[in-house]
Amino acid sequence: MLDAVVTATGEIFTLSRMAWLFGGVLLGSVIGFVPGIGGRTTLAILLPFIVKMDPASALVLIVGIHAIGNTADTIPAILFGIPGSTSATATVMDGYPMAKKGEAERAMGASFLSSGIGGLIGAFTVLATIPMIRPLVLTFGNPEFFMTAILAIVMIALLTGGAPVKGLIAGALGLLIGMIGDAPQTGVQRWTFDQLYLSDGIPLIPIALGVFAVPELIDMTLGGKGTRIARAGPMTSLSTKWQGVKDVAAHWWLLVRSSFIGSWIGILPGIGSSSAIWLAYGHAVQSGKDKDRFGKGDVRGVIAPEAANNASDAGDWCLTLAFGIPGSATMSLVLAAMLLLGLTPGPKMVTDHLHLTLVIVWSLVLANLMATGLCFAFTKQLAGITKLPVHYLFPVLVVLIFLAAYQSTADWGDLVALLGFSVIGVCMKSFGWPRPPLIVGMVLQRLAETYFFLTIKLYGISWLTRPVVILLFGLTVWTIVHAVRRHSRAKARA
Amino acid sequence: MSEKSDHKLDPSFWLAFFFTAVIAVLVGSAARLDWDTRLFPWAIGIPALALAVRQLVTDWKGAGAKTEQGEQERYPGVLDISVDRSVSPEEMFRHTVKTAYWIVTFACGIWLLGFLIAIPIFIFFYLISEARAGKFSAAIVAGLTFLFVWALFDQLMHLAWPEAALFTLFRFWVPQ
Repeated sequence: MLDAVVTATGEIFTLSRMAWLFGGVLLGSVIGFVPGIGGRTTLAILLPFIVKMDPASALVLIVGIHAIGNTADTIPAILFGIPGSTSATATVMDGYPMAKKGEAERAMGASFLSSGIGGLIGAFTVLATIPMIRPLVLTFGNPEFFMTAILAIVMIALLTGGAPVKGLIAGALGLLIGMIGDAPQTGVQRWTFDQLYLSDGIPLIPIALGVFAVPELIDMTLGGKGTRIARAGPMTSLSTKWQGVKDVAAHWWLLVRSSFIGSWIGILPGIGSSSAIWLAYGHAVQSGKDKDRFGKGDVRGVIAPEAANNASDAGDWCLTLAFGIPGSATMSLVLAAMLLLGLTPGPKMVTDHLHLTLVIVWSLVLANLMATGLCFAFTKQLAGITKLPVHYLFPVLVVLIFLAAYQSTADWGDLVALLGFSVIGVCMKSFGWPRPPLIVGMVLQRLAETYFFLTIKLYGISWLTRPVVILLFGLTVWTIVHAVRRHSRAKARA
Repeated sequence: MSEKSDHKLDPSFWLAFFFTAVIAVLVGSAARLDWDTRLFPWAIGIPALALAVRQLVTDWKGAGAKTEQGEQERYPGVLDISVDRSVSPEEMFRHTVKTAYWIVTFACGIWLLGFLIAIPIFIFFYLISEARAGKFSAAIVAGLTFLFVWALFDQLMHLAWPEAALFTLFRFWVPQ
């Protein structure tokens, strides 16, 4: 192990490798800033070029592109309420209201630092758990995965507090919409209504943009000509990125907890950062004393999901390297790149090629530092966008939203889905229906259904007696009871 | 008049009605699928349908509305980005329709002309009419956005653009 650490350190700290890493971070930041594009597309574009590189340099470049993606996708989420990717949807909830209050710089300061520290905690967690990662992951069987998915959906659905039933309906609806297309266990087409577009299911990006981005876009232009996203008023010490740094320091324990949530979720196959962010956000709301401040621009609502997002990345890498199981679509591309480079992900990556695995861990650490530094350096300029007249931003943002939605599958159906879910998003926001459970339900549908089916087929009823299942079931029941009691108390006060 | 005529439906009712209908259709049509394929849809859909009907009844009775408490208290405790209640619902509706008009116009522009032509035209005319921008600055913003989209999505990503109806359905001749 020590030899591998020394070799990996020697391999990464060379001028050329550092240049590749920085190049990856820089390229990822330029393209990753555009909503819906992110690291996956950048990686897809670069795949043919990566093949010709030496493995260590190629891996360093890939990590650089990937690491900045999770940091840069926050920028449009905070500035315009448009999630740069599905793993930035939770940041919209409090990041965008902060921007509207004139605190975009503060939100971004907190977000970038949380992302960076979360990424570091994730990388070190992975490093520490490499020897025991296999038994750790194997403690989770199909029933445990299923219960994790259910816990995540219930947790987010019931966070709605004032409307637990609406939250549960929205979560269930997300699951049902996610079921459109071929059934994972039988391959039978479900609810496609003879439409070819629906046979693969509706992609998540047009739905996330329709449900979250378009309603905010409509609200953005409400004030008429000359309106700005940020409220008028002088810049105070509370609005600067340094206040964001102080916020992170003040909520360091939340940051650490969220990072561990992200790391753990990242290690679990198939769950991914899109769920980790909501679990971390849910945890922040549940553990916060003044829950009413969430959704109105509370910095904790930025810190928790951002830390979890980058921390889950490290776990995701670990899963891909040690098991050859990509935890997300981006990781599928990483897997493809590794195979093209002649590296076979799997147990050998933690035995024969341990130094390359450690090069990746090192690269993750350094890339997160570079990404945080780069984004942090331009926070003031980025925050300045919120001071521009919204009527100049609106048409450009509409174009970007349409392009982001269309590039999901390059089908007309993407645009129809965007428009349809925009109407639903506007109505849900206006009539007090929580939107997050809908997205979380969709994200977790395939995982939940696959593991539900396997659990029933393999374990019958006995899966309910497994210790981790009992623990997760207990947590789910506690979440429901807690939400119902809170709702009853609120009703009694009214 | 009677108490019934004064009963004002919460707008949330219509959304609950829509969701109930969608869930009912999905659950109902799942009956045609084999057991393994419909197991999960029913496991989720049937309880969801029961909850949706309960919500429908609640909204019908008006328990969720509480309009007498004012707009601020209308949907308390819902975890979402808070809605701007400083504008009246009528004004909000007018604004939403107006914005939706521009978004749908752009969608129609894409259908008719394709992305690359619709983008600068949409931006130019929006800026002229809504932002009251000068023609020169509108053209600059439209041109820069077009260049960015063309370079990234067309040249770098080679995105397969949808065929424009004007050039396919209506068989207009376009010089290449």
